[in-house]
Amino acid sequence: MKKNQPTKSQLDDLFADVVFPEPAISPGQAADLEAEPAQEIPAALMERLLAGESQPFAPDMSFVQDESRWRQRLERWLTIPTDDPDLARAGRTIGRLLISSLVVALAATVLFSIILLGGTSFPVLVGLGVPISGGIVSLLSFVLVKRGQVRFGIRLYVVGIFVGCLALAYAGDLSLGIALYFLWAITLAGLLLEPIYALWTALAATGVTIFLFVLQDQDVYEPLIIPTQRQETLVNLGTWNVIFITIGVLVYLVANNLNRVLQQERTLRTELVTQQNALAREVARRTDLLQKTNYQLQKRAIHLEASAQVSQAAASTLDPQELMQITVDLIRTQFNYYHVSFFLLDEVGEWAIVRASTGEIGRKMVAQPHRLVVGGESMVGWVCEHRQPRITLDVGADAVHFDHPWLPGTRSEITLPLHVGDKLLGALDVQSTEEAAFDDDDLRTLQGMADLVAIALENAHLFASTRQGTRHQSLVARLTERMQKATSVTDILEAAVEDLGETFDLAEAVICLGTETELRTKKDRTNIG
Amino acid sequence: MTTTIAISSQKGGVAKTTTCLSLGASLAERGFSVLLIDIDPQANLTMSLGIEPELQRHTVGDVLLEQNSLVAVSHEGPMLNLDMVPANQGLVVLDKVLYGRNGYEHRLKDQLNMLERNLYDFVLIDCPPSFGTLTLNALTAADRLIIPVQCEYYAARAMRPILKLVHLVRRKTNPRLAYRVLVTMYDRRNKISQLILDQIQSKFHSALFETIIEIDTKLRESPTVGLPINLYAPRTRGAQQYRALAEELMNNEKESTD
Repeated sequence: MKKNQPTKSQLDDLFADVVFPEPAISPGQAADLEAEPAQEIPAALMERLLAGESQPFAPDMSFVQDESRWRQRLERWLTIPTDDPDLARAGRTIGRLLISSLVVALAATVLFSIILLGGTSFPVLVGLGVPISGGIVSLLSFVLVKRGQVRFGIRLYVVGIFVGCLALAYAGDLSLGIALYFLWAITLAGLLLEPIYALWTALAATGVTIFLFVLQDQDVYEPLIIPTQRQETLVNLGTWNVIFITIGVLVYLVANNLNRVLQQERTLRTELVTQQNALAREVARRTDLLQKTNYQLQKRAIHLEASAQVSQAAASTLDPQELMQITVDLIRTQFNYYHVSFFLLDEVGEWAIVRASTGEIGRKMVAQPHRLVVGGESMVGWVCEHRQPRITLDVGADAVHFDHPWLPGTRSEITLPLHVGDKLLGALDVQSTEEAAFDDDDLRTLQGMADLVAIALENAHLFASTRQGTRHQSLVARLTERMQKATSVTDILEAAVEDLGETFDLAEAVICLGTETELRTKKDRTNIG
Repeated sequence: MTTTIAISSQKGGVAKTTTCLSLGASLAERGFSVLLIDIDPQANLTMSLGIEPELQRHTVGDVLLEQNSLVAVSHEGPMLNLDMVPANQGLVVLDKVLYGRNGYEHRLKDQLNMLERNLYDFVLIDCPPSFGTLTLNALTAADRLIIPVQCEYYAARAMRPILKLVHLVRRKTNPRLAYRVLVTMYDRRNKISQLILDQIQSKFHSALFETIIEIDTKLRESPTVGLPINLYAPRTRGAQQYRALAEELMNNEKESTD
């Protein structure tokens, strides 16, 4: 082993003091942690972090431990195990209320117990009984709420309060204290259960108190607390029953209204979010559509410009080679393709031979010249045989492609026939390094260019044929005229030699006269010479 | 159901952005609908998809300030099923502005919850290499955290703060955060890399992805052409390894769902 190289033992303490959290925690653990209220990170720490301290967590994490724990525990205790966020929120609220109720009941119990030490009396005993029973009902309700039975817990609490009120009303006349308990039950029923329960509770309270008054008035039973004068009790009863009904109606209306407003707000918010998302998607979709349309327009503008340039070239040159070279270069640069070539058929239509092509590779192909057999497996061979355009969007997946070792980057290819009427001249082959680079638009544009070039090639061919025919006719006319004027064989021969040489641009023209044997001998000598 | 994955590390240059982009592209390639969110003020993820950060009028900053929705600021990526929410340098200021606002840690999570249901199968968040309100938002919103680590001494040491951050986030804002460690830019010719990989494997056990991303020049080149590796060099080792990572992630998701 070389010296100064790290060893395994040197790295043993790399993670020595690291506390590895579990990769994923169980749902139970998560629920426990979730029960903790979301707390803000202490301002002092956050400021240190935002100031850009490089090791914000080292060395102390004390703020986590320093935070007061009792509040967290209380909040955790109040958390309701339910997936319904509305129910969880209601559970937390009622949980707080029940805890407060429990605390008040406890305080009242202590207070009445102290008073009880001063001497036993019936009102004090009743006063002690109310908080104790209220505390028990609160505790039971809280247990139910904590177990997730929020609605049942609330019902138990409201019914408990109401039953307590009944017991007090049974025990004595309708004093202020008892009436307030009834009001408390009416309000809770309306706010925590359904608004209509406020009304029912108010009616129940009125009915029950009147019924008890009648029972007491008819001496059916004797109340524990001796009522005051009948007249006064009647006034109290009437007054409080009116108040019960009024409060019941009020709580019903307010709670109902509040519920409706909350429901509307919730519906509106949901609709708003849905509409916002839909709108955002629509804007994104239209922007995308606009971009695509814009791209298509730009592409068409380029196509048109390229077509115009090819037309111009076709109109301005009669040299087929020059026209083909201009066209392949234009197509390659304007459309940013990988490689473009013109193939023309040989005289017998057996081979398609590269006549113009782009780049250095193209020049080599023309010089070679590169040729493909008509009807073979190549794209060009196929197109020349079937006289139809062909697109291959992924040449790797198609056996019929322009397989040339000099062009390894080709991923898609389009080949179009060059024809004028029924006459096939060859093919235009375009290759791209992108998959699926060609679509119908490209096909139409490139076919238009190929047709233009084919017509120009045919025109050039016709022009050359016509020109040659004219020259021949003119030669024949001139020769005929000179021969008619000739007076000797020598004149005839000189005229023929001169006109033939001039018409065909020959450096030398010779007419030999003699017998067949002499001429053969002369020809052999010339070849040897 | 949408799975949100944050990619975070306190150390710069450990292939956070590359992992976010390449993993996102690999998932999109499998036909999943993926949203990439760049919350790094350096906006490397934004640039790597050929989007010029400083020309963006709307970024993830608008989303965190609740001035725009995620869908409204998203761009369509270079391949089908891949969208992205861009960032720019304005986030530097936002990191400080956000703090102190009510419920700032939950802003991104709230916005993700407001997305149309099942619009995206995966949301990948590229975090800045520092801790602040932006990273806290990402980790609060995430179901999974991927911690890329390079097999080098400083990079391995830099795992301590992110692990403490996992503790903190679980306690404060996101108890269900699960994490996995991903070894990136692994150089098998290098002895120190092998030694540190041994250490990581022995310490992290099940928290470590089996897939290892090895060093690959094509991964470095792909941002220059604004394409994910899956499009730029689809047959390279880097592209194949990120595809394997996507498959492993899918298997993990399937196991956790079962």
